[in-house]
Amino acid sequence: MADERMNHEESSRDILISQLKNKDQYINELAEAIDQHNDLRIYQLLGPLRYRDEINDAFDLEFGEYPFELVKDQRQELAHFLSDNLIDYLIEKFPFFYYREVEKGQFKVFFGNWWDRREIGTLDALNVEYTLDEEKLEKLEKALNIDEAGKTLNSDQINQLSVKNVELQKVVTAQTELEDKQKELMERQNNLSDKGGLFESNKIKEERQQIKEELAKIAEEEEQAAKAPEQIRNNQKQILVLSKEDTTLSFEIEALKKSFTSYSEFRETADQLYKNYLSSLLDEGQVKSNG
Amino acid sequence: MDNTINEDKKRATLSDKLLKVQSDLDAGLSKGRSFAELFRTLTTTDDNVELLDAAKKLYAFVVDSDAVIFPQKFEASDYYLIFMTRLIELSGLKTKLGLEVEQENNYQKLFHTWTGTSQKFRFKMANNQAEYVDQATQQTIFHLSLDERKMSFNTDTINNFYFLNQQDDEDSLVDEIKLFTKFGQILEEVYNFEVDFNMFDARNNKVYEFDQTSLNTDIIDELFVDAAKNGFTLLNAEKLLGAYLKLDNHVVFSIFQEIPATDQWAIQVNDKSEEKSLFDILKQYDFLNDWYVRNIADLKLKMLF
Repeated sequence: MADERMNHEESSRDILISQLKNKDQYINELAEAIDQHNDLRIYQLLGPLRYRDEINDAFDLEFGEYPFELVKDQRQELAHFLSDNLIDYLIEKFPFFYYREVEKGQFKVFFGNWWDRREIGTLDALNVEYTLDEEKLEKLEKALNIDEAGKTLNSDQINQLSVKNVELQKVVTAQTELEDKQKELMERQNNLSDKGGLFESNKIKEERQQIKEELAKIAEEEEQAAKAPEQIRNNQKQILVLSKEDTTLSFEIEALKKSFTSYSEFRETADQLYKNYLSSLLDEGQVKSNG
Repeated sequence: MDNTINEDKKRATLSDKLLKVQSDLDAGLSKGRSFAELFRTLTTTDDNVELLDAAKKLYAFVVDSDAVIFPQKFEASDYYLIFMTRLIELSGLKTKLGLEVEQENNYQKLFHTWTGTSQKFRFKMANNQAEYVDQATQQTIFHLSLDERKMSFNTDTINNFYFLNQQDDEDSLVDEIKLFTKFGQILEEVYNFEVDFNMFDARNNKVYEFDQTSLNTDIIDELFVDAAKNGFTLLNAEKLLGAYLKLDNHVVFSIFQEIPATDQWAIQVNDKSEEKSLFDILKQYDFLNDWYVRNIADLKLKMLF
């Protein structure tokens, strides 16, 4: 029993020392890779498991599966450091994306450089990943799929609203006519009252009823007309919102088509960023060592 | 004894009076001579300094006295008109500006005419400065004070004249603006006047501030949509809140929040040769003109003074 314990103590010392040495080596290699701005090596050290899974299945996990845990408080700094080359690469592949560093190593991604361009997601430089806003992209995909000439995502709705506004404008213009008619009917109504004695004839009764109904109708129409200017304004506002969205989407489509043959090609490229980027770093390394 | 003294006194008083009349006449006539001299300077001098000096003096000159009244006179504001005419003449500018005189009671009223149109302009005094007024519409085109050495174009007139009311003869209007703007430039160069050219200023550093603070961003959205329909992309300004258009021939039109603290918005027009003013740009591009007119209350420019 006592022997077993002693053995245990000795082996644990060895294990500890060897593991700490391994960690020490890990940190040294990471520091060296950073010093040389060898981003490929940094990514290998950062996530060896992923590197093995996605890039090279023969990759040796000499520092274990998640060695970066050891220095995880350096995430932000390292993300910022790696974003330098990564964004250079991304600008080439996705020239329509623009990046704003909101916090060290954290980037918002904007689609385009035009007025009120859409914020389309975020970029994680450590994991070489976009997190894109699916809802916003869905609109883009929909707009891309419209192949009818002159039609846009919102053109039907815009047309409907425009037609409505033409109608409403007519109501507004007809308002003076309505007022004249009302005046005339009221005069007739007054004249009838003068004629009315104790015994009103049926004819007068009928006429009175008819005028009453017409006046009610006019009152209703006038109420509509009074509301019309505000409705027109609201519709115009809505048309503006829809046209703006159409315009934004048209710019996005135009930009996308310059770099990709299809939406799915764009998505694949964006979704496999890690693989694509690290492969390009590998190629670069080969070019360098060949040259 | 007493009588002689009284006689002497009387005689003395009478001659005093006559002498007084004579000296008043002299003074009145010499005033008239000074007036004529100043008027001669105003109408004939080739010297810019003398010209301005004469116009300023004549403007304040009261030529009539108790003793001498001159029947032929101009209204004070007309010396501004003569001054303007002469300064343009001295600068060697070819213009369609003409002079016309109308007799009204004892006054001769001077008008500017514009060849080929029925337009007439005249200076009118208001609030201690002269206003150059279009006679048909009674709208003030610019304000001018020779004393304070200031000139400024009127924002409302610009909007009414050149944007809201369709003019039959837009070419003449553009020519007129060119001349009036040139007149302002001469005032700046020759006399160091402070001139607010409003939207006619073509210098790149000119910031066309809006009269009201804050800007409804719907207005920029509209510009974004309209520009796109005309083949231009309204780009997002990077460093400040706002947007800009790259127009033809490297002209850049920007609309931006100039002062965040007060939410003051403004427009700027940049071109290499500093030839294009906001007015030129608005008139060159129909979509910009229409956009401006649609939002004229919000986009109205501030007058600096």
